[in-house]
Amino acid sequence: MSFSNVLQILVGGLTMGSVYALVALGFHIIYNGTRAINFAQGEQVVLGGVIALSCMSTLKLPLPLAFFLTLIIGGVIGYFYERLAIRPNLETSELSIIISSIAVAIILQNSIAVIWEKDPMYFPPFTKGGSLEFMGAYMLRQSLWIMGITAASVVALDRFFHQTLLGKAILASANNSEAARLVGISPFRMVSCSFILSGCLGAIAGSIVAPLTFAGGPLGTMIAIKGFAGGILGGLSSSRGVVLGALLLGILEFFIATFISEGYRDAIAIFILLIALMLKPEGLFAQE
Amino acid sequence: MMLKTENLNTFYGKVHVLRDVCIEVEEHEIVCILGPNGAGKSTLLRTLAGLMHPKGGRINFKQMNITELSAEKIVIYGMSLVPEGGSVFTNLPVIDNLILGIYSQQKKLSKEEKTIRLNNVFDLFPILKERETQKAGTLSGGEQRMLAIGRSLMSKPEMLLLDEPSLGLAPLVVKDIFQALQDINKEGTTILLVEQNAKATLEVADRGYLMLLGKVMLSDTSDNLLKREDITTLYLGKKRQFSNK
Repeated sequence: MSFSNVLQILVGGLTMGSVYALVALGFHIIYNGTRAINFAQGEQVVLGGVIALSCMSTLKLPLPLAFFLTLIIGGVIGYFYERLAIRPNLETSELSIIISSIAVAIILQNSIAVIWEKDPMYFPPFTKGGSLEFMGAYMLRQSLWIMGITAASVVALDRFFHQTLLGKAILASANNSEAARLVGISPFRMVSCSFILSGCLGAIAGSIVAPLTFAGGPLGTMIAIKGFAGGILGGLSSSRGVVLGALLLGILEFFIATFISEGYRDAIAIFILLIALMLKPEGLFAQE
Repeated sequence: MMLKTENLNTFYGKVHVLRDVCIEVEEHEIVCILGPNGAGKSTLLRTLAGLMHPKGGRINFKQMNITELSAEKIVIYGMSLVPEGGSVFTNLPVIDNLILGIYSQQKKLSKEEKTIRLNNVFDLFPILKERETQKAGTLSGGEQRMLAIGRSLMSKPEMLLLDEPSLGLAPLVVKDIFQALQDINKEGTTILLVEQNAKATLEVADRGYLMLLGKVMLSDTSDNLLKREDITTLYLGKKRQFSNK
């Protein structure tokens, strides 16, 4: 295996790994706040793609504005999702939250098929032009956007959680909701914030990956499984863990697809999920 | 009158825990509630702080009816509970735990005021200053208890409620914490604490209530309660070895 091969795998792997990382962060934030898995995370990504597409093709907005608007709409949808489907279940059990999230996933999936199209739609890359060549490896221009925007999102999220009072309050409430109430933090509001954040992350992931996968279509389930597998591999309770796990999964997936068979690309995530749950269920990079 | 409860009745599911509890706390007092396990002491504090809501009765705090208020609201009105075992945010550094203590007032406070309050807590518990950037989960039990008290103090409460501040701590640490409580009280904070450590508690408290099976059985000044050996053995079990002197 030559150096350019290695570089090619890294570039290809980190591109999809970045998208999985955003999805995994969405899982992580909801898991931290509610101890439940948000099964609608994948559909929120698809929704991000089609909303961004509509912003550009129907509303004729320029890309940066469309991206920004999609981000906000993603957050608003996250807010109503929590209000309508999660809040009534918050004081019952994690299981009812999970079932609610499955219901929301089905509703989103069908709404997208009805409002937009059943089949994937073409989404133009953020910048035109052919692939870039670097030391024998080829990279799509969109890959740079995906990695850059993901890196910026990860840093912004980290700063939000560790440097703002609201971010710390969300972490505190997840750690000990009763003690949080005693200092005046409303746990309900913190869960609401978590869903807004995960909605924003879905919107970001959806709009940056759409030029590679097209917008809409049956993409949601697969991308959710991969984000989830990456998250479990790294450790769902740690924000750094889920990002590293998802990037690792992206690289492994690309490696298998290149050197063994393209057909195994989707199977590897599920395989890794099973292995991780059997051997290290707390994750490779779990801190606590 | 700082705090007054009228015939509080609280249930845990179907279990009737508090039965017609009436207590009063005057401004600047240290009042303790003593009693064996299961007497309803913690339930009383949790009801006062708004973590539980009574089925009947009334809680007046500074002439205001706070019976129906939630825990998140009550802290804004100046009453703060240090829960049993401390319950610090183990995933956050000491400094963030303290900063979150002023969450309810964040918008109203100037930066200087925040620094003053932080320094007051560090003066009271210097060890917290040393541990500032450490995660709260790595602190010892006594340090976590101090942090929990410090976090409550950050909101500058007029009244501090403490649920068994001495529970599980070494006698020397208990001594430090009780000394700190006296200092806090001298600064003007009214204190209501629940304890099983009867002797040490009565030595710092002005008055005490004795609870048994959800009822207030007796109330008197600490001096009088300390003299009554029969009561201390009857309600509080064996006398503890530890003394605060």
